[in-house]
Amino acid sequence: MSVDSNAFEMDPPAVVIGPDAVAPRQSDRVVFGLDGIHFIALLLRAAVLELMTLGLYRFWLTNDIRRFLWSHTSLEGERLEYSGHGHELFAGFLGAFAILVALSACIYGPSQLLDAAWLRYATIPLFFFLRQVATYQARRYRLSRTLWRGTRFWMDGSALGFAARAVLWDAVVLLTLGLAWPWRVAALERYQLGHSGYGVLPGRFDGEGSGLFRRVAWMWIVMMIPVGCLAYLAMTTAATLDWSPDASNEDLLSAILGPRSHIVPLIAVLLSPFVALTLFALYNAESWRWWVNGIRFGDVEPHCALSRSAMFGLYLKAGVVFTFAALCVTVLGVTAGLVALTISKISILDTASMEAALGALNDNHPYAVLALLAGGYIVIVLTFGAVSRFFFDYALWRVVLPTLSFKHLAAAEDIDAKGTPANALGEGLLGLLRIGGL
Amino acid sequence: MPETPHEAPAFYFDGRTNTRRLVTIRFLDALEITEGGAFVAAWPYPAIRRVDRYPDGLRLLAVGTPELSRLEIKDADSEVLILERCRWINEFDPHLPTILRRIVAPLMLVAVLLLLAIFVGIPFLGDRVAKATPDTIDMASGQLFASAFEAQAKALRCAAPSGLDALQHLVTTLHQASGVTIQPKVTVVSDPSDNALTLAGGLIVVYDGILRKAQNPDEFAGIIAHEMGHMAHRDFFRGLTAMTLEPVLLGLTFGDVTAAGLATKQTNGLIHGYTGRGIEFAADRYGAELLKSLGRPPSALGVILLRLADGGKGFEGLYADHPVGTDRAQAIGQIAPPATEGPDLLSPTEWDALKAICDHG
Repeated sequence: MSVDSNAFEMDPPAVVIGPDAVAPRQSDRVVFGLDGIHFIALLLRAAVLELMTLGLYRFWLTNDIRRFLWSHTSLEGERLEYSGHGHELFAGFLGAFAILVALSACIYGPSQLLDAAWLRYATIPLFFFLRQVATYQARRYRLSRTLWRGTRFWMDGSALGFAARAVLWDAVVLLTLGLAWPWRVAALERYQLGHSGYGVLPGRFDGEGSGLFRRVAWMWIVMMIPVGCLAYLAMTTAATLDWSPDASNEDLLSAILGPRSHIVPLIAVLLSPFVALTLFALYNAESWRWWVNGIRFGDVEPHCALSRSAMFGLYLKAGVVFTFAALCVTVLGVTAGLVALTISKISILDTASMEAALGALNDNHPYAVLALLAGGYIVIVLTFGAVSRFFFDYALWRVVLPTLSFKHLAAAEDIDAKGTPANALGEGLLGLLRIGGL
Repeated sequence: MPETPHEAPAFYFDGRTNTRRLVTIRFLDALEITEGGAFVAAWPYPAIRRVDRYPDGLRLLAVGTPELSRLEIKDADSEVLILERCRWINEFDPHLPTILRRIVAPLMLVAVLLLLAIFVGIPFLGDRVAKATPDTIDMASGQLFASAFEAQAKALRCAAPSGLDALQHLVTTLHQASGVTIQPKVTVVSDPSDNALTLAGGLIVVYDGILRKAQNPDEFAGIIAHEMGHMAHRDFFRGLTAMTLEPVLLGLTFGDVTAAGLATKQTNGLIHGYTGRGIEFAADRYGAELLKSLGRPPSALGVILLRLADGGKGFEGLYADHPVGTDRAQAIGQIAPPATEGPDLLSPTEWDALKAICDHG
């Protein structure tokens, strides 16, 4: 059920190989040979299909994207194979949907009958826990669909055990204001990779939490500056504020913006979103490198040479394109409005007749107004979906994969196969729990 | 002399190890795979499927061989021959027309089924549920609401004694004329909004705002009669069915196409509005007919509905689960006035007492 590579076949035709071409050892580097334009073609076609199917095509799109990325990635001249199918994701979604509906009914029903509203809050920790279960199961699914040289990767271990560890670690991270994060990641990776393998080669994770901590601790310190500034502003404002009930909002605003000593902290707080995004990109570069360099399958040691600037560049481009897309949508909307006004011979300055015209349109053609709004919504959703898929599926691979190389790759040759394919229930759960905004 | 079959080198993975074996493929009755002259496997052409196809070759599997056994062909002639001979090659890897056949068509079917389920299936099911629910369950559900009301909103109930008597008189008159089996229990609550609702078990709640806007007993009786229409049609259970099933179906449709929560909510509102308006028209008809059977003008209901209705036009109107007042008044206008006029439903003293029902509560 994959996307057909035919549609993207633009490279030179097949090269005939002979026995000689087989023998020489090819590069131990990962080669990713896929042009962005082909990926964009895939996304455009998917957008049309999603429209035609009210969005139900998304499972097949996810599968198409993975198959596309995997099959254009090769190591030692051998392409990866993604052996999943769209209908598996769809089935996983249906199963997850049934589970969540049943669970919600088990909680909401008694909470209604016993008039115990607090019971409903039980869904929050439950879904948080389930999300961790789903994360593990989803990774198991993806890994078991990944083949190289006709042999699959696999993952065993207990998703529940993983989720319990993840939740406990989250509590520790919370208590340490985020400082324990690197150790959380390391512990969970040790569990996951410790239960993974390629054929008979067992996986493990050699990365240490302290290693990641040393690389990213400065980011935590930088982020503490705006947090501290915010606390300072809150405290000094609270001290000077008139707490009587008839104090007006203007007093509050002037208490925050007024004092000279507030200028620097205010600037720090206002700049913090941009700083946070930049740091997020840099963190990603560091954690990718640390993660890949810690992975082992038997004696095989991957190495990642990803640079911080490459990752920063990706996020910068994504930011620029998102902003540009938002601008385009706005300009398109405004232009359409202006054209409509010109056709109906109404001046933009004449707000009264403009409102009257809009009112008349709304009263007389409610379905047209609805269609316009729905159409605009769909255009926006599809555009931003495509942009984010381009950057965070394709461009991320483009940036990361070519920086990978392998030591002792010969250890992964001529080994026995092992492992069975996993079901996609976790993928379905993950997709559903993501909408919940958790 | 027979033509020699085409042969070419290829890579073979047997699915049991990851050893890359350089083999020779030969196009005989089946695709024969040999390694250094020794027979390895023979793949029947109809069993061969394409896994992936790249610019530099074709990766194949064969149904009925070990799950992960793969053959990688990198020469153009063999590729052409394979594509020629293997009829079912695309069953795993459809090109565009196959995508249409295998994905889009089923998905469109699912979409049509969803629409049918929402606009035909759920209303039908709601109708069944409404008709099949026995009075005992209706009453028991009503009891749940009644105790919830007692617990949370008791203070809102309007209970001036003479007003309650007048209300009881009006309700009894309407009930006797209606033939509804369950005894309606009408409560007026002290709230300025224009609203009235019917819950299970004959529980009818009327907001004081409506009572204040009613100019004569017939108008107010029209509203109660309309609500008794909801009772008679068991619309509570219709609504319950729809409210339970619609979000499930819609959630399933929109899933995670970013901001899907919004789409689900909007669509749910639209559907609810669409089906809700039909239910309201039916209750209007019932109420107007009930007034008529008591010899009172059915148009009284239309008059008060017009007075209560403001807004609800245009795009927002599509979301309103109550139809526009003018449309409702027009529909009620179709019903002919009664041939003989019946007695007043309430005496002027009773009407004054009813209007003041909230003044001492």
